[in-house]
Amino acid sequence: MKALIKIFAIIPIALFLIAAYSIFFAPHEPAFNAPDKAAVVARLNHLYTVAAYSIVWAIQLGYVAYLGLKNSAQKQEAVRASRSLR
Amino acid sequence: MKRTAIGLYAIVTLALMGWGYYQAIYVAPEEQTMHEVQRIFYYHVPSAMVAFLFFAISLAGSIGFLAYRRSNPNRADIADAWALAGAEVGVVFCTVVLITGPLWGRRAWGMWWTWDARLTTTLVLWLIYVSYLLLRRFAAGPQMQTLAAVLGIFGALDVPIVYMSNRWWRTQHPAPVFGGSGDSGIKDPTMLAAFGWNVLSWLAWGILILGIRYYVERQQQKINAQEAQEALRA
Repeated sequence: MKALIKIFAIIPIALFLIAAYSIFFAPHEPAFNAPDKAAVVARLNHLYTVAAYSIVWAIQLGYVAYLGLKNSAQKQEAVRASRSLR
Repeated sequence: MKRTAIGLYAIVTLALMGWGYYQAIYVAPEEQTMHEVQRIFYYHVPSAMVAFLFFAISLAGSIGFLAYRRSNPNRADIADAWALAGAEVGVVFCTVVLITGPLWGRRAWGMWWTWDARLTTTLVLWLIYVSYLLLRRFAAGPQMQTLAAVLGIFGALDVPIVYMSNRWWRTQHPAPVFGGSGDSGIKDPTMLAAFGWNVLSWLAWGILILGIRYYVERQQQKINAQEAQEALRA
């Protein structure tokens, strides 16, 4: 279970890096009369779509990882509380 | 039995997510004016719909808490857990909306953000619910849940304003997918199917994490009660 939570925590970081790379290393917007304008625009559209999909999954899986960590911390807290009640 | 049902639901949800992704990326045709970047829409709009639904759940939970807080503390705790779970998962989906929207806007409009009515009201909605979560995290004392419930109710009042904003005011945001004027909305049936599958899959995913968040909050309430008992004994 802990390994699964760790995977859920690592994947969002990787997805954020993919999204950041797609946006910050994207080519510049081509000039109006640039000969390869269509190709660059298509590349930019693709990179922004990849960034959007990556960020969505980074947020969702990151939140699931946060819930997993919170739940495992709660279990430890519950065990400690029941021991001290005895 | 309960664990098997939850496991089955999770498997069906993951299959739906995969199918929704396949529909959005490989099956739906490319839009003629916006091209590939329009595919962001298949994640952006369902996330907004799910966020609105969960803020409504938070509203119901907040009202329930205020109604039962004196007469039935156990029911009030259940309502409070739903209010918190709805607000938190709603904020997650609203964050997705506020990030994917500007990514689309940068390519479609040439800018990340504009202070138009739809975008501004959505940002205000997000800020209200983030302040709700901060209140729950950092405030202490017996009045905290009551104050949070009141804030949750006021926050939910912004949801219909966000929904109606591009009908009431002239905005740069695209026309509504449903319930707009005659020429708005999706016309292509393949696009409509991809959109429908993604709404279904994000709704299923949202319900799954809402259920997990509710369970975690109920566990926390039990631990808090146990600790209070321990403190009384000491």
